[in-house]
Amino acid sequence: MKKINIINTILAACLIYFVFVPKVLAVEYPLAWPGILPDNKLYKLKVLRNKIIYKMIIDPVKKVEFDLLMADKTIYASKLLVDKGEIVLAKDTALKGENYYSMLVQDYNKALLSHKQIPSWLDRKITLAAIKHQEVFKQLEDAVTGEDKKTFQIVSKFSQINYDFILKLRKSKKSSGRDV
Amino acid sequence: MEELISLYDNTLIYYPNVFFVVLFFTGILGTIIVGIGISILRERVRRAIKKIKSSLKRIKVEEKKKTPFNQMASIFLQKKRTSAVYIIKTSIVFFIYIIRTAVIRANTLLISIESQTERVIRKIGKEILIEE
Repeated sequence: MKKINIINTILAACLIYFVFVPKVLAVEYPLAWPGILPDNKLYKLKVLRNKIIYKMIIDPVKKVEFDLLMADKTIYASKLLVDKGEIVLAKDTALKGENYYSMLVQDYNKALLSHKQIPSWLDRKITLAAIKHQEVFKQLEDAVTGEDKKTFQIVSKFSQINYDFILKLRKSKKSSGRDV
Repeated sequence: MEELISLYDNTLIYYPNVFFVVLFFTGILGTIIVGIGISILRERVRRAIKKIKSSLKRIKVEEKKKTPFNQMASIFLQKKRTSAVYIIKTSIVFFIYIIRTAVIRANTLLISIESQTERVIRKIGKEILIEE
């Protein structure tokens, strides 16, 4: 009887681990394919193109969308670089990716100040992206050793701070909405 | 308008290469059209100048007088090298010419004012005589 109980408990634990745990931890948010990576000679041209595009976008909400796309692409590129074994470049790329998210926070604020409505799907996407980014940084942290770990930890912290800013902005928007 | 801006932004964000290719070809097309326009315009201007020249040839133009003013202007406008003595001589003649013209103009102005005042005085004198 005891044996059956132990087996049942183990089976239940396995079921919980394989069925529920991955769904809770892994966020279902596919990152956009980055295309050419920063180790490519043409990458600088791509960065220039992206800067031009950023300047050319008119709608502040679309700027937020663009920042999010760029952050996704750059962070995914960082992951691919770690897989390739180019850790130094991967660290730089991760920092740049998070910098795009910081730009997103600024543009989000600008959009709110110009009384633009942020669509709910974009808000959800921003939240999911922040969780996914932190998940990727955690993976990268585990994939590297020594001093390299620190950089990804710092980037992960930045990501958390940026997301906290977004939450604050949302709260302030809600409270100002109630006041009106 | 909002939809158009949204379409433009979406193309920029999600199809940047398509956007830049379209922009590139539009630029080339624009350059070609402007080039053709300029060549047509140049041809028209050339024809107009030809016409004017031919009509000018028909008209007998009097020879230009060699006034001190023309001589002075020729020093600055013509790219010929001239001696310092010639420049000094021409500038002195030019200043004398200017002063002479100014004196003549002032003299005529004074004469006209004098005649006008004479006429007014005569009128007033006649009116006084009539009243008496």
